[in-house]
Amino acid sequence: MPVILVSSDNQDFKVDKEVAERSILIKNMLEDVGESDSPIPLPNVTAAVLTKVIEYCEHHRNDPVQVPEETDDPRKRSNDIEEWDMKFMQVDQEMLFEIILAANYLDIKPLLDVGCKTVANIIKGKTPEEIRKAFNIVNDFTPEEEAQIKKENEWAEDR
Amino acid sequence: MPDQGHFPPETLCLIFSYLPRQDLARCLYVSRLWHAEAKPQLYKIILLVPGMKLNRQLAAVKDRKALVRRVEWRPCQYGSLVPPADLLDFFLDYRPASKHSENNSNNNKRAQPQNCPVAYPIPLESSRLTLKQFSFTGGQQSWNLFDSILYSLKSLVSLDLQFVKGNGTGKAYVVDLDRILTGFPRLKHLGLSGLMLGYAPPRTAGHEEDRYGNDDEETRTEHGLESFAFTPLLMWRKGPDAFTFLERLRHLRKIVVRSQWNYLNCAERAQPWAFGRALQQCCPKLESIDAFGAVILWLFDLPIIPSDKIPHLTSLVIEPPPSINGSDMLSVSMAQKMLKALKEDENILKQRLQEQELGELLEGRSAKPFFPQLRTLILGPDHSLSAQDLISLGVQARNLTHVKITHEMYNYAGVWNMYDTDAAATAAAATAPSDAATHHSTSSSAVTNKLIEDRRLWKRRCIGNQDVTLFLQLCSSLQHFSITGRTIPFFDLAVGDITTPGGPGTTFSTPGKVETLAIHPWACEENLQTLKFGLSLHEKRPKEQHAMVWKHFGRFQKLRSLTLPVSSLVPSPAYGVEGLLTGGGRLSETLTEIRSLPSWWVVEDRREMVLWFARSFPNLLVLGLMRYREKVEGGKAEDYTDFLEDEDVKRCSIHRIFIEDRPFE
Repeated sequence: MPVILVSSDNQDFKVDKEVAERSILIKNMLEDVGESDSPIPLPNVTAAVLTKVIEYCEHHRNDPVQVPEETDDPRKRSNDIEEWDMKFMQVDQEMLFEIILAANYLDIKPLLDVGCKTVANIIKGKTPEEIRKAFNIVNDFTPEEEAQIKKENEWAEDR
Repeated sequence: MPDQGHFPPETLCLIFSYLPRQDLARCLYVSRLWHAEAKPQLYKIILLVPGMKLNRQLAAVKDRKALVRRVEWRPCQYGSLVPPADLLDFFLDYRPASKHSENNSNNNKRAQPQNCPVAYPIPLESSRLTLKQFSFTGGQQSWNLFDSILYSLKSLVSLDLQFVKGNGTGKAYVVDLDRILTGFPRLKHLGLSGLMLGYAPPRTAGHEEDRYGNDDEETRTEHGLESFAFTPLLMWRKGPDAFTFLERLRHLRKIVVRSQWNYLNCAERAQPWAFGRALQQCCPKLESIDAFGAVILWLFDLPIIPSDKIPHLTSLVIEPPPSINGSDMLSVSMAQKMLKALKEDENILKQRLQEQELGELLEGRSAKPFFPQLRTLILGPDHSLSAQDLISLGVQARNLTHVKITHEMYNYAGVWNMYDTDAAATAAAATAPSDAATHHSTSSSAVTNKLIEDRRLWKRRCIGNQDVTLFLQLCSSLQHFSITGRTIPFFDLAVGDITTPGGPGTTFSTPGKVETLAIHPWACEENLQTLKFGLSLHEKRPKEQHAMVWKHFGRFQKLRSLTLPVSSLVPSPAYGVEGLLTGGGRLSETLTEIRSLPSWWVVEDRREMVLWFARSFPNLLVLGLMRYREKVEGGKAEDYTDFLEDEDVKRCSIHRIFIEDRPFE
C-alpha cells in the first residue's frame, strides 16, 4: 500500500509503505494513525532533499533493522561506507547538511550514520582553521581560551 | 550559505564518534559549540598504552573521569609505565598509603575480603560507575595490579582480557569464570584470549566454602551475559561439572572461539560431545557461532540408530551363514565373510549407506532444532564441523542467514574418528534385547556393535564438495553465504536433486554422464543477497556447462553481490554469461557488486565483457576483475588490463572497476 508524503514546499511523493517505514518517525506515525490514506506532511524537509532521502530508502528497503548494542566498540570507523552509499553521498556540502538534518528529523539511523561518516571524512586531516573554512564557522574563542584548551589537551594531539 | 557547522549537538556528537583522537583534538579549537561536543568524545575512550604521553594524559583525565566510558590498558612488557598509585587513583579514585586516607579511615572501615589475592587493598565502595568497558592486554608483571583494580569496576558491561607472555615465569593467569560472572552482574560481553590464560577448575556443587565468600546459591544464579569469547582450553575441562557454568548463561547469544593451539593437541584434549550438548541444553538463545583455528566444537549430536532400524545392517545380521553357532572362531569367519561381501559389493553398499544416511538426516526436518535461533555460523580454517553437522543444519536451521566457511579442514582421521563411547554403549544396551540379532551369539552382537561403531565413525566426516551443494539445496533462510579455501568442481555442483532419496536423479552422480547433468536449484534462491563461491570448471569443458552455471547464478531474486574467487568460469556471451539475465531471477535490478570475476581468457574480448556487464546491470557499481599473471621466463608478464584506460570503459555506468590480485582473503 503506498503512502503519500508531502514536502515543506507542498510536493506530493507516493512511496511504498515498506520504503516510507525506513523512517522510524513515519513508521510510528503510521502505527498511531492506523489504516488511513491521508498524506503525511513533513514540514522540515524540502522536495529536493526528500527526493534524495526516498532514493536512499528505496535502495535500502530490504536491509535488516539495526539494533544498537551497549557493548559495541565505541571507536567507530568512517571508512567502511558501502559503495552505493558513497556515490549517493557525492553531493554538495549544503545538500549533505540537509540530508543529515532530514535523517535526524525522520529518524533514519543508517542514513544519519552514513551522513555523519561522510562529514567525519571531510574533517579528517584538517587544521581547525581549515575546518572552520570548510563549514563556514566563526571562531568564537579568545586567545586565552585557546591557550587553555591547548594546555589541557596537548596529550591528545599527535603522537 | 547556511551555517553548516551548526549541526544539532547530537548530530555533531555522532560525527565526532567517527573521528580518531588526533582529529578530535583539533575539533576542540573550532568553536565553543564544537568544543563542548568534542571534549566528551575525546575522554570517552582512554588508552593506557606504551608510547602515549601517559602521565600528562592521566593528569588531564583526572578531573574528567566521569566522561570516561572505555579504558584500554596495555602495560608495556616490563610492567606499567605509570606508578601504580596513579593507576589506582585513575581507576578507583583511591590513593593507597597516604596519611590523608588514614585520617578518614572511618569511611574505609569496611571489612576487606581476607583471602582475596590482591596486592593493593581496595576499599569496597571504590567503584567507577561510569566506566562501562574495560580491556586489558598484559603479561605477568601487571597481573597483581590488574587484579586489585578489576573487581572494583563493578559497573562494566564489556570486559576483554588478553593474557600475553611478558618477562615473568611463564605461568598462566587463572581466570575464575564464576567469580567474574558474580563480580560483574551487568556484564553483556566477556572476551578472554591469549596463550597465558588458564581457567580455574569448575566448582563442584555443594562445595562447602567459596574462596570469595560467595555462597553456592550465588554462583548458580542466572547471568545476563550475551556474548562470550574464549579459548579452546575451556573446552578441555573434564568431569561432570566441567560445563555447568553454561547453566548460568541462558541468555548467551554469541560465542567466539579463537584457537592458537595445535590441532592435534586440541583434538586430544577436547570434550566435543560434552561441550556441544551442554551448549545445546543451556543456551537455547544462541544466535551466532564464530570459530577460528583448531576448535573442536561439534554442534549436532546425531542419534545412534538402533541396529534393527538399519535395514542393511539387519539384513547382514539376519542372514548369516547357516553354519553359525556361536563359537568365537565362527563369528570371526562371519566377520571375514561380511568384510568380503562388503568389498565385493562395496559400491552398492556405499550407495545404500548414503541413501540411508541421507534419509536419516533429512528426517531431522521435523525434529526439534538444536539451536533454533542460530543466525550466524562462521568457521575459519581447521574447523571441525562435519558433513553431517552441515546437512543437519541445512535441514533444521530456520533462521540461519549468515554462513561463512573456510573449506579447509584438518583432514586427519584421528580427529574425525573421535566418537562418544558413552552414547555408543547406551545405544547398544538399549537395542540389545529387541535386537533382531539377539538369538545369535554374544559374539555376533559384538559384530553388530562393531558395525554400529563403524557406522558411527562414518557419521562424522569432513565436509565434501557435494555436502556443500546439498546444504545449499536444503537451507532456504540463507542470505549471505561464503565458502573459501577451495573451489567447488562443476561436477560436485551439478549433481542433480539429492534432497529426495529414491527420487529421480537421486544420489551423488559420477562425472561423464553429461546428458543427465543439471544443477538443482538452491533453496536460498529467494533470499540470498551475497554469494562468495569459487567454482572450477575448465575452460575447455563444453560451453553448455559454463552456460549452465551462469544460468544457475541467474536464478537469484535478491542477489546484490557475487564473488567468484579463483573460479575458472568464462564470463562471455559464447559461454552463456547472459544466463545471469535469463535464469529467472532479478539480477539485472539487484546486482551491485561483482568481485573476482575471471578475466584472463585470452580468447575472449575482456573489454567487451566489461561493457556487457555495464549494459546488462544498470545498478552495478563495483566490478573486480581477477588478474591472471602468466609467468614469463625472463620477460615481463603480459598485462591484460590496459583496456581499463579506454574512454568508453572509463565512462561506463560502473562506478569502480579494478584489478584484484589476491585470490582469497
